Amino acid sequence: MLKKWIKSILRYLVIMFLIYLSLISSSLSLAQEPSGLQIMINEDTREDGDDQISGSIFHLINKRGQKRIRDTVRRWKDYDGKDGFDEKTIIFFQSPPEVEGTGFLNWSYPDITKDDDQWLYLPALRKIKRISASDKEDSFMGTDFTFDDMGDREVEEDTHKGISQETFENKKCYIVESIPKEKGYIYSKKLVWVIDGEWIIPKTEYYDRKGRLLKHLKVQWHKVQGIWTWKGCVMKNVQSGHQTNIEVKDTKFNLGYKDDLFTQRTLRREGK
Amino acid sequence: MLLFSLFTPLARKPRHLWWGEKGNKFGRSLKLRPNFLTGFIVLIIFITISFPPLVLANLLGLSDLDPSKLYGKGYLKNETSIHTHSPHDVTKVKHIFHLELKYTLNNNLKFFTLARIFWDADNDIEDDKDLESWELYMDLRLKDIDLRLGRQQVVWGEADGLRINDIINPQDFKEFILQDYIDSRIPLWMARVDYYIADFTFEGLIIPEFKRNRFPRGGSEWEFYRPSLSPFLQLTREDNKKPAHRFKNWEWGLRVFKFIKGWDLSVSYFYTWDDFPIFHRNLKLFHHSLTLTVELSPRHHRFHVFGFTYNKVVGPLVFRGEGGYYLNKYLSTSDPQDSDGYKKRDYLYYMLGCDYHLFHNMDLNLQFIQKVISHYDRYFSEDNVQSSFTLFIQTDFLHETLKPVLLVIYGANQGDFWISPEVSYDISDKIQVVLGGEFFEGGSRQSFFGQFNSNDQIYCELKYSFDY
Repeated sequence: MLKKWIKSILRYLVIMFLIYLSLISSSLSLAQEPSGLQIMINEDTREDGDDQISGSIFHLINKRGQKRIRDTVRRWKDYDGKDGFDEKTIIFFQSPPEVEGTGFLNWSYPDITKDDDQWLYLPALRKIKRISASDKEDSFMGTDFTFDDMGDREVEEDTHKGISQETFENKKCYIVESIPKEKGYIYSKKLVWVIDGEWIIPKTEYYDRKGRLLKHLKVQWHKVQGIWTWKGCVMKNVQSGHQTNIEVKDTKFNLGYKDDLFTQRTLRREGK
Repeated sequence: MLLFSLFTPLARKPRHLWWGEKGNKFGRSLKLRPNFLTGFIVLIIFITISFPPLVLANLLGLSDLDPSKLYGKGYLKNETSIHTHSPHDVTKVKHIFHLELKYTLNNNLKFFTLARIFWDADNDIEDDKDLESWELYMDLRLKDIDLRLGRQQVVWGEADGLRINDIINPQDFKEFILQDYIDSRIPLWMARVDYYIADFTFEGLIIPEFKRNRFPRGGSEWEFYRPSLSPFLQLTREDNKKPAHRFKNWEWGLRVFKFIKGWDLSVSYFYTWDDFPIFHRNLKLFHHSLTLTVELSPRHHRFHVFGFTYNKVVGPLVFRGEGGYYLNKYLSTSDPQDSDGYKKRDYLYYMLGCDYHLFHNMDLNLQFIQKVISHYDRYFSEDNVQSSFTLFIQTDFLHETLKPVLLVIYGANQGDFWISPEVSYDISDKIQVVLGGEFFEGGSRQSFFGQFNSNDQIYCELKYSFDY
């Protein structure tokens, strides 16, 4: 009788212990999975150097296979709030001949309510034009990228939710749904694939205002000077059939760029 | 296009006196004949486009220099236009070869030249063909100073389509104001110095060369309106005298600009010669023949321009403005009590503008322009206050391959206006076709646009661009 009682007590203890263990392990695994917001913060705060130069060749291909090419050189500097700036970018177009010499200067600020300051040097006018940064939804030089796609959209501008995980190119990947807070924005949502640990984005899907897939972006990454950076990408508009391929070359980081490189002076100097 | 260039259509126009009635327009007969000089020029162009930069380097005597540092680009373009009214005669058949070369010795020294060759079978310029090295300069960069020496264009101001402070270079009016300013500004030999200190930029200009504006020759469809003379009046005209080449006759200017709290601001001063001549008048009465002879002596005079510009972005709007106070400007007068036909006055010339990004890829640009003459005299040929408006709309489709634009300029004083619609299509990165029209309406024969009421035309341009 006593033996039977002891056996039942032990049985219950083992069951209780197993239940306790499973509860502990599940709470631990929940605690290890970052939220959608944390994933995007990790991506945004990934090491990207203090400054950078790179050349980009844009191949614009329509659905009939006809190709146009844009060749640019881009310089960028991260201010991280210093002197009231978030970052500065200056881009010059080297081809085709019609746009050669065109320069674009952008100053962005940490305050997301403050618009970027932008200037465009037009060789055909021989002068610098001030432009409004409100047209971030416009196509960048006729490509499938908008100015916002090309720029550094702030994490706080969207609401992020982790929706699933999958294995992408043999790596664990989080899929985050990002919905813009701004009403009437060009995209109703984006699905962003983020590789765990490396916090780089190999794939993004963009959905139009009606919730239909508009375009998708696939990015090839590589490390330069220990920093993850684009090697190339393909952005395809599935609705129009147009796509833009970008080859990125000659990337260098941490060159010690001075502030006066990112001024109208450089636009005047590099232009005619 | 090469074959078309060899067999250039030619049209014969009657020559007219410089002064007097415009005469009748004759119907034109088109003749086609091979033109060996044209063919030779075309052959040179073909070689230039086809062969690597080393050929050009050798031709230009740069063979000892590194050809990989030489960059060239240019285009071949045909512009053809016809009148919209019967008999729909051809008004222009123009071929242009444009070449730019840039040699970058190092980060601090760069050389640039730009040449344009054009030949026009159906225009009124003095020569059917013109070969001219338009620009040739050297860029030298030092730590806080940039120096540009040579024959060049310098552009000041915020206004689009008009020149308030953008008067550094004279202008070619052989096609009225239809040409882009980049093509109609006449380059000058000058030195331009930019000095950067703190967040300020100081720009200084020294211009030893004087060139006047270039006007359409007599009989051209773009010749400015002149009233007919009384039969009792005779007119003689002296040659236009240029200022002597002396240091005291050099033009010079200074501009300072800075970006402050979202505003781009600049102030400027320019001491210049008027590129428009003022006609000094001398009247002589011959009693025996009862004729009055008017002697006109075109002269150029100096004046001062104090200028300012600003721009500021507010949301989707860009506010722009520009003003110039012209001091001691000579204005023509028809006052019979005035012995020499001109008076010195000051005037304010300004523009208030706004760029608005309407929606996806569509931009709207509005400008209000006004000129106010101080101490106005009723015998001046201009109104005391002259106002005009400009409207410019542009957009693009098909990933920026199709670009329609519309420009409208309205002169409020005379009620005349100019409408210029245009559509360009990029067949490829190298080939572009353009269709457009120029329409002049309203006003009277004496008004700025109304005088060309019979010149309404449509045009087509075909352009092939290249680089290496």
